[in-house]
Amino acid sequence: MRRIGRGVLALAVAGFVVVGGIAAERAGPDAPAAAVRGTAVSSVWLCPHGGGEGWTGTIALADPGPEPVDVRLTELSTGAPSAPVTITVPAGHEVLQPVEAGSVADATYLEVFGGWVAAGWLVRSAPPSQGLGVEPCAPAASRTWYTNDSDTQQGHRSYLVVMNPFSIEAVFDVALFRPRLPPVRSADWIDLTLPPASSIALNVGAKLLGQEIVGAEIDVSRGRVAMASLSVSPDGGVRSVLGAPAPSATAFLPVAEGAGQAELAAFVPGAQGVQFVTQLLSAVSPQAAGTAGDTQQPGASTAGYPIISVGPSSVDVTSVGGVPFVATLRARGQQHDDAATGGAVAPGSAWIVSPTVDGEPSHPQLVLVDPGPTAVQVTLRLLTPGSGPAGPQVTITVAAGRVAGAPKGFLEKDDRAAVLVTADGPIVVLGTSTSGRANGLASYGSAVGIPVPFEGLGVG
Amino acid sequence: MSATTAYSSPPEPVPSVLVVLAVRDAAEWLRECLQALAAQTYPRVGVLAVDDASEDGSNELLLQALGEGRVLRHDNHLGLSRCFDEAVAHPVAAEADFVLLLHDDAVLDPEAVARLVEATMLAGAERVGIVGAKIVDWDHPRRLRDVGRSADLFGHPYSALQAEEIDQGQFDRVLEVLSVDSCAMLVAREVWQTSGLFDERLGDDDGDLDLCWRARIAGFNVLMTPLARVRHAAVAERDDRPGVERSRRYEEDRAALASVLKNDGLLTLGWVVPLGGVLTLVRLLYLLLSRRFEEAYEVLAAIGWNVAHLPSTLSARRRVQTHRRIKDRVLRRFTESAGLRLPRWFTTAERILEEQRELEAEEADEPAAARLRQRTVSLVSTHPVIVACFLGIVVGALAARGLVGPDRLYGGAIPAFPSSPSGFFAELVSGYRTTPLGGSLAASPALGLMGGLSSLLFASTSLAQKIMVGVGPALAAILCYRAAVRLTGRPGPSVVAASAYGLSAVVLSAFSDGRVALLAALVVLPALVERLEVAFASAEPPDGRWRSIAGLAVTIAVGIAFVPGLLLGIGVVALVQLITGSRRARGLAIVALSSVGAAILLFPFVPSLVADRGAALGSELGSSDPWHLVRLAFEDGPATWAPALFLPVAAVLGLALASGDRRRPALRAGLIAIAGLTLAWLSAAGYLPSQIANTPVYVSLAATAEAFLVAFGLASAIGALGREAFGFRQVGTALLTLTLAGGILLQAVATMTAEWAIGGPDRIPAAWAVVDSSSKGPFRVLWIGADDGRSFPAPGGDPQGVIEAGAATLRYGLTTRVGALAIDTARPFVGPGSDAMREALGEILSGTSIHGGALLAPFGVRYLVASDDQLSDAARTRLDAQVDLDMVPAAGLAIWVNEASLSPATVLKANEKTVRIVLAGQPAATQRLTAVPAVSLSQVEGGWSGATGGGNLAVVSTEFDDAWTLQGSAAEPARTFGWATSFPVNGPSVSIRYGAQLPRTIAIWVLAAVWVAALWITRKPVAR
Repeated sequence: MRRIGRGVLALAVAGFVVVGGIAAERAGPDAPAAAVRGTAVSSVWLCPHGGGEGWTGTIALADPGPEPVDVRLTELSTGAPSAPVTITVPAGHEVLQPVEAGSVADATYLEVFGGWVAAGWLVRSAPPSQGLGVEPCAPAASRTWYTNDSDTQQGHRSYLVVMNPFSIEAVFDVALFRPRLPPVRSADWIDLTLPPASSIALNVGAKLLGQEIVGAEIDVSRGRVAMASLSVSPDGGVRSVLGAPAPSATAFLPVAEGAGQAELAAFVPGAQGVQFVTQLLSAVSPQAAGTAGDTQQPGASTAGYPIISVGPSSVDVTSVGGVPFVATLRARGQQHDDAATGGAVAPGSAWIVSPTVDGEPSHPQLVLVDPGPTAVQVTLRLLTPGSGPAGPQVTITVAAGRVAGAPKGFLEKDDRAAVLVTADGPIVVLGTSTSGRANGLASYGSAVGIPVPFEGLGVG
Repeated sequence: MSATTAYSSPPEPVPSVLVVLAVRDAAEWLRECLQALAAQTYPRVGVLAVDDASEDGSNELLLQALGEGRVLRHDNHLGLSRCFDEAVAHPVAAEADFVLLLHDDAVLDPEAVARLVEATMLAGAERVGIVGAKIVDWDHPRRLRDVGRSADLFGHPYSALQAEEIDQGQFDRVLEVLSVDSCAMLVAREVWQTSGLFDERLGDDDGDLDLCWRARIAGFNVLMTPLARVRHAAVAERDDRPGVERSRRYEEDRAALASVLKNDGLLTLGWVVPLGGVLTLVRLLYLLLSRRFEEAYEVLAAIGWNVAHLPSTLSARRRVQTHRRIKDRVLRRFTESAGLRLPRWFTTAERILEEQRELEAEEADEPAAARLRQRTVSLVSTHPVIVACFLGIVVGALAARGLVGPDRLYGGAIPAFPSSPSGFFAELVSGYRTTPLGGSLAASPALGLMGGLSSLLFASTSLAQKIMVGVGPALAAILCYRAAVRLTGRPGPSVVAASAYGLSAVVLSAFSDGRVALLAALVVLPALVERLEVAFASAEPPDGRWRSIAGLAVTIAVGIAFVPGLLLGIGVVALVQLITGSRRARGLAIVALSSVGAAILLFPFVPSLVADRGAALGSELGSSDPWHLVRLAFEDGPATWAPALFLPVAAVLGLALASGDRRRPALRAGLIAIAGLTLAWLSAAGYLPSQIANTPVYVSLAATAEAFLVAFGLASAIGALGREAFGFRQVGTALLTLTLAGGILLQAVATMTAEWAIGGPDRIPAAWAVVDSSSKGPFRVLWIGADDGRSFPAPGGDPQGVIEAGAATLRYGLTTRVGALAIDTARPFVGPGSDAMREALGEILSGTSIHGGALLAPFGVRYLVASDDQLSDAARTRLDAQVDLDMVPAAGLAIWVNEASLSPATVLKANEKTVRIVLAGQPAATQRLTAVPAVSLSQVEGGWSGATGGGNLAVVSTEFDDAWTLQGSAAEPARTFGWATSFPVNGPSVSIRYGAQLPRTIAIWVLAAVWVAALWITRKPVAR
């Protein structure tokens, strides 16, 4: 009996171990606690704005939060960086900081401490031309970049402005894409080395001439960079488009009222071809947007699709099957300056739109797009330069699937102000303006809004 | 000439023999001795007795038997040698051809003298100077006591006789020997006149070898004749004489060395003395490690005696060498066959081989397989320990083949040893922690042991490192054997249990990774568990309560000095014993007092143990895979494969088979094993607070308990097998045997063929060269990885902590540029500096800050290193987002370089903004730090020093303490970055020193005294 009892005990122990092991395997390890938000808030903005001889540049810094924020600004170019300068952006306000833009390779690196600010750039070509390039800065560096706004037709100059603000050299390859022909990978644009804390401008026309839409892909093997395209027309018009760190399957490309003909430039970097589904949202019901949905664009190519829009609109593009692509919307200005935007890949509920005005008189506009199924309440607040009381605020409603603009006269209260746009649903926002010369139509700039993280609003 | 008047030549006179009888308090034996003398058949025998201050009537007996003129009397005891020397100096001795030295407890056969003299005249025997007899036991005349002796190279006598060997005529021929026993020694006059008689400085029992050796050197032969038989009581060896107190080891060592120094030629001395020195060192080490302090002292005392008496030895040497007629090499034939003192088990091995040869002769008619099987069974069952040792040596030698070489070991988790033993002692004594982030936590007393070991091993820390790792598994098995044999009383089962323990996954894994501390814990654990079992057992501890308490305290202290988490294991065992033990109150009292004792033995280290609520007890190591843990592996490694399950399976079978008075201990061992495995999983899975989460300790505890279960099961099963009908026991035993045989064999094969994580420099990832060779000057490395319980790639060592951040949760460790350090053994990474670093990492992993480089700069972190496959995507994303951490290409490792890093001690050219940042002490300020012109300071004893290079702010990455001083300045230290230390400086150079060294120095001296006392209390008494 005792022997049987011991045997049973042994079996029980063995059984306990096996059952325990199975239970432990199923239970798995305890989930670690979530990260606790710290107190050392910091972020960066990389602004590869470029420039040219006689050009001027401005960095617009807007603080939507309740506390002032310090920004350390360093200017980069092909030589040594400038000594850092620290700027304090008052809470709920904006600072317009002049920066060097006298060289096509000029760029600005911003380090933000103690809060969050939105940053965008304005570059103006040298008089008498009234070219204006406006774009939001990049919130982070990346190891891949895509852009498709270069134009190497006769008289046009297009550059890829690449910046490396970090402490190690960056090494990258550049490939250029064009319609209906294989990509161009020039030998001297392979393993390009960009020294630490410097920037460079690559002349696209030196490698690929006569193309209206040239897409560029940068692949970084060491380090990290930020990239934007800078295009100058024969009349001195300027288009500035921040690169995309990765292609996506959707794009929201707002365009302003009175923009003239617009063109959707699509760049498919991968080998697989794309069938687009496009939709033009406007004040009326959605409709097809141009001819982009009619044909399949082959892989590793760029293509342009004319867009006819009436009033403030948005071209929403989706690829069938989720094939990634990069899209830019070029809008013809009233005079010699054009504008372009890379749009947004996803709607959001809070945006800051940098000022796009350069000179008086001006016609600032705001394009508010509600791509969703429900109407959205949108609150606009001006973040004015300087300090003092908060800027004016207004609330409007954007119907589902519709596009609306800011109320008349609202933006004119301070056309140099950034605009904080908050909504109770997902929207996309574009800031745009014409300004300068007698009729205020000489310069045309547009820049999509900068998504605001909740903590930037002092929430969460 | 008639027959009646036939002429006959006068007979040749026979040599005269003077028997010199030394007597002291020998009334019990003297009468028989004298009667035997009277019965001698030899015609020319005279007797001269020397009474060495006898008080038992021996003197009266002598006078009665020999008359006044033949008895010399001493009033004080002068010893045998003096007695004999005085006798041969007597005028009557000058007329004798031979003296026969005789002890008072020796009885000569009637023919003895005649045979001894006869031997001097044997044909072919020239210049016979000394003849000895066949000495048999007084009480058992068939037992041989002496048939002549040889010696080893170092002057220790060696006898070919086995203990209590029976006289079967095996030595019945005249033998040429090196020496004979002086209890009945015939010495030719020419010998003592040439070489003198005994060296009176040597002991009474040791002078005969020396005398015979000198005779040999002078060209005389020394013979033993079996025809002369002497019964000898050997009273001196048995301590039968009242008032005699002597240590044979001391006297033998003393005499041996003195003889060597006198008698060996110069050339021979040139290599014998150094070789003897090395062997003495090894012997001393063994004696010290086994706490035979008195014996070790006697070894040293013997050397010391020879040093003190060197002048007289040299004087005697001159006389000996003057009369030298033969070279040392001629005497080699009398040297012990191996040339060295053979350890007891080599002798046993010789005997075993002899037994096997006899068995083979008996089994000649049987089939070869049957013979082999029978011989194997016979061998293993008769000599299990020897067999296990032999096999263990073979397995160990093959396993450790890659560890041989002059370089230190690399790879795994092996910590770097300092370049010299003084590095250990310096850290032990230092008032501040010299390893990353500093602080005042004391180093572990384990450093004293490691430093001492390194010092003993020719001041080679790399050799000490290899010894600690290489010997660890064997030592663990040996101590497991000792503990098991004490618990079960059965050597055979204990050997099997020890083998299973030594080949268990946890032991081999610790060996593979070079975990010196964990190996020490594995060595100590069996003794700890056994002592706790004894403490709570119904019988009183065999050593007595107080020795038991002291021994347990020392064992606990040694274990905790290496692995503080062992306290958790002790707690588990104590709890199980409290629940199930027999004498709970006594056991609890012993454990409590032992714990107090251990705390005293570790007292400077206790604050380190309790810092941060006992952070030192926990460990971040350990896989949460329960199937790994069941086979006693807390991480992947060689020999942690499925066959490692043999020990747990065998333990279950052992639990089933344990019976009788082994049943309750087996049940306790089973409970301990289950508790250990359960706690191991809970620890690894993160369900326990970090202070009590220690997977390696719990797994080690389970392994120990399972080994004991094997011992209990085997001990119960074997021996009862034949008494019971076939059934459960037989089946269980068969299963257990098969499991153990198969498991041990497979583990042994795996051990012999394994590729260990430690080895040469090739064990370091090649990508490490990016860190090691590309940067100059001092810096620190932050090792990071996912919280998967693994160690870092070499040389990162083991993780020191975990930062919880959801999917980006990281384990981390901060090391110097050479990696994990042995001087940080057992010391936790806690304190304000550690807290600040955790806060910085939290900022990075939460995504709040992307200036991680600046946040980590104050900690001297120049590189962040992770294994490519050990970093979660979320954590990698966070690190990639840092703008001042740049990833560098490195195959196999993910390495970020921090260009904003500060040297661990540096002088900054700080502007006002930088000074504000440095003194602010908040991460929000620190993250704004940019690269600042700086000059590194060098670490020196007691602090740092160097040129300022025009800088104005000296910043040292060590925890703030008021005791830091700036030499030559009244400047006070400032708290920097919230936790570090800085001084405003001007001038060309700066010297920063720690000003509170004295209390630590005093504490260490007191600690040393406490340990000496504890080891003395727990010493093993000397065998006299």
